[in-house]
Amino acid sequence: MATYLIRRLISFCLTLVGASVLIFVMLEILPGDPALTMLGVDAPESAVAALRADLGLDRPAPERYLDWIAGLARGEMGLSFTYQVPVAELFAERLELTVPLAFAAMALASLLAIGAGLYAASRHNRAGDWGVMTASQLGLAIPNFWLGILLIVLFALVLGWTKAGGFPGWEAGIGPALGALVLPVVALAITLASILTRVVRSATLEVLREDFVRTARAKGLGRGRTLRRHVLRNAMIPVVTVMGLLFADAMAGTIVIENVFSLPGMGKLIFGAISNRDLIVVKNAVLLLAALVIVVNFAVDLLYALIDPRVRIRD
Amino acid sequence: MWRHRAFMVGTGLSGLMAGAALLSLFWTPHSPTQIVVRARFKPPSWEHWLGTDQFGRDILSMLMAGAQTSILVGLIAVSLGLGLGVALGLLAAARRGWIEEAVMRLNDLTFAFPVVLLAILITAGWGPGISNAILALAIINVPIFARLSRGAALTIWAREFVLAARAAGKGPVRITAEHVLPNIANVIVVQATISFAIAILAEAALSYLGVGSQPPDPSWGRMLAESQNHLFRSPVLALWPGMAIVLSVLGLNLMGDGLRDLLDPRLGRRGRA
Repeated sequence: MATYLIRRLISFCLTLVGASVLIFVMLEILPGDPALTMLGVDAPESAVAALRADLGLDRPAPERYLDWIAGLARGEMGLSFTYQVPVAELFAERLELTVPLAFAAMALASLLAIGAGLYAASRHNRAGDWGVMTASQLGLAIPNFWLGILLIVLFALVLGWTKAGGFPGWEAGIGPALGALVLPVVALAITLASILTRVVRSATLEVLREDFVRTARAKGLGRGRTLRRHVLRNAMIPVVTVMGLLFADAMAGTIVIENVFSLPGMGKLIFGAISNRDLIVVKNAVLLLAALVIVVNFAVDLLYALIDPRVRIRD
Repeated sequence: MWRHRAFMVGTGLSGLMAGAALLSLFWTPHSPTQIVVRARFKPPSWEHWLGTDQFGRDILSMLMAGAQTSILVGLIAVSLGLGLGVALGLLAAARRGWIEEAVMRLNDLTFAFPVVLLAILITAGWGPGISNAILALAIINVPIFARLSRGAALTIWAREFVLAARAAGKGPVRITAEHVLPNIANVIVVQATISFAIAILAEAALSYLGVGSQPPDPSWGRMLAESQNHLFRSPVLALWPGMAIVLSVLGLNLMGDGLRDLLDPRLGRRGRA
């Protein structure tokens, strides 16, 4: 167990470092002069020079990278170039929307997928199985942002049940705030659920063929209880892994969906920052989102050891 | 039996998309870019089969030309990712050691970077554009193909006929070219189909967000973004490009599933079980 944890921890730290190096190289080294990127090619030379000095771009790249990381360790990400506010403050507001959105979508997708996947497996090669697989094949092909637009057309334009987008903020009360998130969460969850349903189904089918399932049924355990007590728990092992990997998709989907529903989250902030060439916001925002994905996957690795005792013993 | 039918449907849909794109190279019912102010928001008619948009452009012509963009992006991105990825994967399998370790660590890294995030990085550094979207998609595909081909190649390297080839004095390059590559080609073809479908979805998303193909190049994603400004006036504008995306992606996915069954019966049985 200890070896497993230490190995996971080392790979977790390496991935974080790798992600930050990749971001730094992609934004500050490969494109050339960041000051020129931020001000545009036709900016006066004096302004570019001033910004270069201001950002400390005259120093060597490794030093700048280490400075960035040291700042992050102290919780400082610098000032936004366009808003002139600490980037950390900007993020804190946006994350209040983005993080719940991504997790809610994952939660809904997992519920849908486990239900549909178990159902399909228990109806293997019959009409129910065929129906679930067809629906998931379709769900895989539907872009989440198009689904979002369709939901807006149906529920906001035709039925008039909700607004077409926007977010009143958590201070407007939990009801209105959650209400504004229902359609975005559904739009995000359908794609994720389509992928996960297939994993749940095939993992369940795999376990259903195991000897211990036959034993359980033979000793008189009911169909439903066998599924819940023996099959589900064993089938969850690959499912949880894929859930961790899907979290990256959930995060990316959130960034897109926020633009569909005009939700003031990280996605909106990032695309605003791209058009304003606010590299400081982009750099830290991308690292934050990537770090979130890495942390979730690390947590999944730990969870894995909890669900499956074999992982603990093997290492 | 159903699988076979799904494969036919998939091939049919993919063919339709490719056909529309090819045809649009020579002919579209109208110009996909020409603005006709008096023909704005026209409903479907004999003149304009799917109607016109907010600039009076013919929707069907735009969809056909948009297929070109999708195919172009998918084809270049997947080819680049496949070429580099398979080369790395084969090298890792043949050489093992630190090369293999480096390839696998790189692979670990990319799971934290969904293509949208990578495209954001590239766009922020170099500005938006179709070539940067292609670059992001190609980069994302490298580790996918590297991991896949390494795994498949390792099982081939462990087979007796490879041992025989080595005993006969063949070097690693010849063994890779003559024995390993032909035996893993089927897995790669299947993945290429799936990657193509994912690339079409991603290109649409990036263009929707304004960091993919730029006006006036026709693109399904940007058609959707523009349609959203006119949802009250003409909600059907949001319908057609979305359907085009769904049918193309569905077609490629079904074709990929079918190919998996045809090329690798062993894998297919497991997938079906």
